[in-house]
Amino acid sequence: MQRVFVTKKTWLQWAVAACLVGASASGKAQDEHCAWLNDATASGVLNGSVTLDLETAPQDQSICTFTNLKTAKDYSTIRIMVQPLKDTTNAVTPHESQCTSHPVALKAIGNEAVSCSADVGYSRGEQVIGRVRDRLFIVTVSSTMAQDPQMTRQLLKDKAHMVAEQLAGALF
Amino acid sequence: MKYAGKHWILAAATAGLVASLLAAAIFSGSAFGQDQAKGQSKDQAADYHSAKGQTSDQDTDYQAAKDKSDNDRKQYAAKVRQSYNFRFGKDNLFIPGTMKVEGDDFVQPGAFPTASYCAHCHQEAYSQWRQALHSNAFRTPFYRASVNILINTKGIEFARHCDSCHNPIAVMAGGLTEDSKVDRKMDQDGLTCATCHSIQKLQSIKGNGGFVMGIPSVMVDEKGNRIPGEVPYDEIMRNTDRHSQAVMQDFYRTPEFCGSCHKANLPAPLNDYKFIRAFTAYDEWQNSKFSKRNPLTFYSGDFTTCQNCHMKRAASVLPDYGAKKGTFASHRWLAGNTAVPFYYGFDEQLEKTITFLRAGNFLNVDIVALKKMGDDKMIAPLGSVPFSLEPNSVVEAFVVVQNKNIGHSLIPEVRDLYEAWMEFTVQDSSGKDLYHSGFLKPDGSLDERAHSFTNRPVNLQGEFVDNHKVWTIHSVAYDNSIQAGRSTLVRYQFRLPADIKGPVKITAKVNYRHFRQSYLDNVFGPDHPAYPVVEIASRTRTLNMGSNEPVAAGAGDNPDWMRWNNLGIGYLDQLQYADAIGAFNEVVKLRPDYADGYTNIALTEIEWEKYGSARAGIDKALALSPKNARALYYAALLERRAGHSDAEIADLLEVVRQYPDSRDARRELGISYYQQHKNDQAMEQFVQLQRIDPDDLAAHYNLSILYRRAGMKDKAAEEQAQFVTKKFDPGAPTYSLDFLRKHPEISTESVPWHMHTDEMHDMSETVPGGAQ
Repeated sequence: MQRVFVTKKTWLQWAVAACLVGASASGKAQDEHCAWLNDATASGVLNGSVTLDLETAPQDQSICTFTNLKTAKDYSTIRIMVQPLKDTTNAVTPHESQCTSHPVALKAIGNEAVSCSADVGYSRGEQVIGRVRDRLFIVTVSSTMAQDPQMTRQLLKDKAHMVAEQLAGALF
Repeated sequence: MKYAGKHWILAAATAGLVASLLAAAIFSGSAFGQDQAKGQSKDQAADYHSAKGQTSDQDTDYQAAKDKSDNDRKQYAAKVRQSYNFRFGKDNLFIPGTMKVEGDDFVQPGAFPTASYCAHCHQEAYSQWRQALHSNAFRTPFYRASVNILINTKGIEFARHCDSCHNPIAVMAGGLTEDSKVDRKMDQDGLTCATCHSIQKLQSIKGNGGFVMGIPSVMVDEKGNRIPGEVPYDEIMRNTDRHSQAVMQDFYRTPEFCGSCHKANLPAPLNDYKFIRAFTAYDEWQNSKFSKRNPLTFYSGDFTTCQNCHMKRAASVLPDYGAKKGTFASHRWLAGNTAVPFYYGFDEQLEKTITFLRAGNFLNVDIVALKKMGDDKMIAPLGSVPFSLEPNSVVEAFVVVQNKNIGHSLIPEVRDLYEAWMEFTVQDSSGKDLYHSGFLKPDGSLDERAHSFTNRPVNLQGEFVDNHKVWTIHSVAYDNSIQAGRSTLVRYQFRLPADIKGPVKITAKVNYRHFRQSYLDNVFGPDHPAYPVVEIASRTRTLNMGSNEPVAAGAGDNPDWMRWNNLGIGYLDQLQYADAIGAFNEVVKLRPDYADGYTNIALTEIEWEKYGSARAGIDKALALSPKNARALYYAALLERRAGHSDAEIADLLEVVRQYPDSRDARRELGISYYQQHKNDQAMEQFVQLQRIDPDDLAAHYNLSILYRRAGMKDKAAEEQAQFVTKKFDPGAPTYSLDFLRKHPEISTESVPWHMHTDEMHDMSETVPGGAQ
C-alpha cells in the first residue's frame, strides 16, 4: 500500500486515521503487535483502550502508533519510531529540530536521550529522542485533551519517559 | 515523501466514528486492562472502606475483601489462560522458574500494592530501595540485553526462568507469553516491596525463585487472616501490629530467604540438555564459617547471615515507621554492583557501594614470599625475614589472596559477567613499571594474561558463552573464583634490570569491575563511558637492592602463622602437596597449640593418599582438641580406610551431633551406614542431606538404591531421574578443551599451578646458573 508520508498531522487527519484504525480493529491488525510495547501497556499510559497502527517508512523506519480515541477531537496517542543508524556519532542532535521546547538530556534511557516537547497545533505532546547502540528512537506521547488532568504537560512527560524506557529496554 | 510498507489499516475510509469507537471498545486488551487496574491503590482502599462500611463484623470485612480479591483473580486468570503459552504444561504456569503462588493461578498485577503506596509511611525504605538493585532488577540494560536474547532466540516463555526473580509480578500476571495483555508498568519497580513482603513460605532451597507467593496483604484481621490488597493508612496506623503480622515473617531474616533467588540452576526445560548449576551464593554461605554448619572450614567465625552484611542497620535519614531506635535495616542491599547506580546516576548508592567494597576486611592480599631464580630457598614470610636482592635477578613473587570475610565466593554468582582480577606491578624508584600484569588496555578491556577470579563457561562449539546466554552452557573451561574462607596463590615472575640501583616497589591489588568490558560493549556498543573499577584490597612492599631487614607488620597484615596457613591452603588447591605440608609445618612451629594446623597437614596427606602419616596429624589435633569436629571428620575417613567401621561411625555421629547441618558429615555417615547394610539409617542420613542440599548427587544416587530396596519404587525412580540429570556429563570437558586450544593466551589459567610472567623465553640465557 502506498501512502503519502506526513510527519505532522492535522487534527482532522488524526481523526480520520483514528477512525480507520478503529474500524480495522476486527481485521488483520488484531494479529499484529508493536514489537516494543504491548497494547495493555499503551492502554495504561493513555488511560483507555487503544488501537494500533503499524507502519514502515523510509530509512527503514518502523513506527507504532497507539491511539486512544475519545471523540473525533479528543484523543491521545503514543507514537514510537525506531530507525537503524549507520553512524552513531551525534545521532540524536539532528532530530532535536523536531522539538518545540529546549531539549533536556535524560539519564538512563538508552545510550543517550533527550526530552522535549512536541506540540502540533492544539495537540500537546512530549517526546524522547534517544539511541540504543545503533538504533535511533523517538517516542512521542501527545493529547488533544488540554483539560484532561491525566494529560497535563508533566504527566505527558512522565508517560513519554516511561514508554521510552520500555522501548529502550526492548531494544537493548 | 512516499513510503511503502505494512500498514494495518484495512477497513475502508468510510468507516465512521461510531464503528471506530465500537471497535476500540472490543479491542483486545481494553477490558482486560481495566481488570488489571481493579484493586489498584485508590480503588482498593476504597473497596476496603466500602466493605467495612457494610458491617462492623471483622469476619465479614475480611471475607468481603477476600471474596473480591478471589473474584478479581478468577476473572483475570481466566482471561490470561485464553492466550497463555502453556509450553511447559497447563499446571506448570511459571516453569522454567521454580516460583509458586498460593492458589496456583495467575495474579492480577493490581493485587500488588505499589512501592509508592508503601512509601507513604516508609520513606527511608523507599528512598534506599529506589536506588538498589532489587528495584532495578528488571529494567537495567544489563539485564534486558541478556534476557532479550533469550526471548528472541528461544521464546518469551523461557524468560520465566529469569524473571521469576527479576520481575516476579510480570510472571505471576501471566505477562511472559506472546501477545501479552499485561500492562508492564511494573517493569520499572522490579522487585517491589510487595513481592518480598508477600512471600509466605519457602518451597525448598533449590533457588530459581523457590518461594511461595501469597496474595499481597498489608493487614491481617483480628484472627490473623490476611486481608488482600491495600487498606487506608489510618487503618494501618491504628493496628500497626496487625500490619507487621501481614508484611513480616521470621524467615525473611534467614539466608534461606535470600537463597530462594540467590541460587540458580539451568534446568533441562531451559537448556534442552541437563541440570547445570548456575550459581549459588546460598550454598557458598552454607559452606562458609559464617553459617556454623560446616565443620570443615579452615577458620571459624561468628554466625552471620546475608542480611547481617547486606542489610546493616544504619541511622534512618528519612521518616520511616519501620525504623527502630532511629536505625533502619538497609534496603540498599549494598554489594558489588556499581554499574547500575553508575548508569542511573544514583550517586549515593554508587558511593556507598564503593565504600562497602573497600571496607577493608573482606579480602587479605599478602605478598607472602619471594624466590630468586637459581636459589631454592624461599624468602618467607616476606617482611619477617632478612634477605638480599641483586640487580638482574629473576624473581618469583608469591601473592596470596585470602577470601577472609566474604560469606560467599569472590566473584559470586554471575562470574561470566563480573570481573575481579589481580593487578600486579613492579616499579622502580621513579615509578616506572618494570613489570605490570592485570592492566586495562586503551579499549578498556583487561590484559588477557591477568589473573582473573572469574570463570569461562563454554558452549557445544567450545566457544565462550558471551552475553550471558546461559542456556547454551555445556561446560566451564575454568573457574578461578575463591571460595569463602579459602586462599588462592598467584605467582608472578619478573626480572630486575641489570642497572637498577634504587629500591623497587611491588604492589598487588584486587580490582573489581561490574561488568566485563566486552559485556558492556555488547550492551551499549563500543561508545560507552568507562565503568568504575574499584580496588577492593591491596598490599605494597618495598624491596631494596642489597640487604633487606625485617619490617614491622602493616595494620591489615595477618600474623605470620596465618600467612603460612594461607600459603598452605593456596598450595593445597594447586595440588602442590609437599609445599602445602611444608607451609602447614611452619604454622605448627609458630602455633604448636593450634589443632587445625595439624589437621591441615593431615587433610593434605589424605588428598595425597598418604594415609599412614595422615593419622599422626589427626592424632595430634585430637590430643589438643579431643572433640574437634573437623579432626573427627578426617579421622573417620581414616578409620573407614583402616576398616574400623564402628570408630568411623562413632566419629561421624559426633560430628553430626555438633553440626547437624553438615552436608559432608551427613553424606559420609550415610555412606558408612550403607556400607554396613544399615539401610534405614543410611536412608535417614541421605534424607537429611537432601534437606541441607537438595541437589546432592550422592543423596540422589544412594536414595534411588535404598528406596528401591525398601519397595518404594516411585521415590526410587524420582531419585534416579534426578541423579541422571544432575550428574556430571563426562563429555563436557571436550568443549572446555576446545575452548582452551583456541585461546592459548588464557589457557594457563585452567592449570592449577601457573606462573604470570614476561620472562619465559630468555631467562635461561641470562641468569647465571639459572635453573629451569
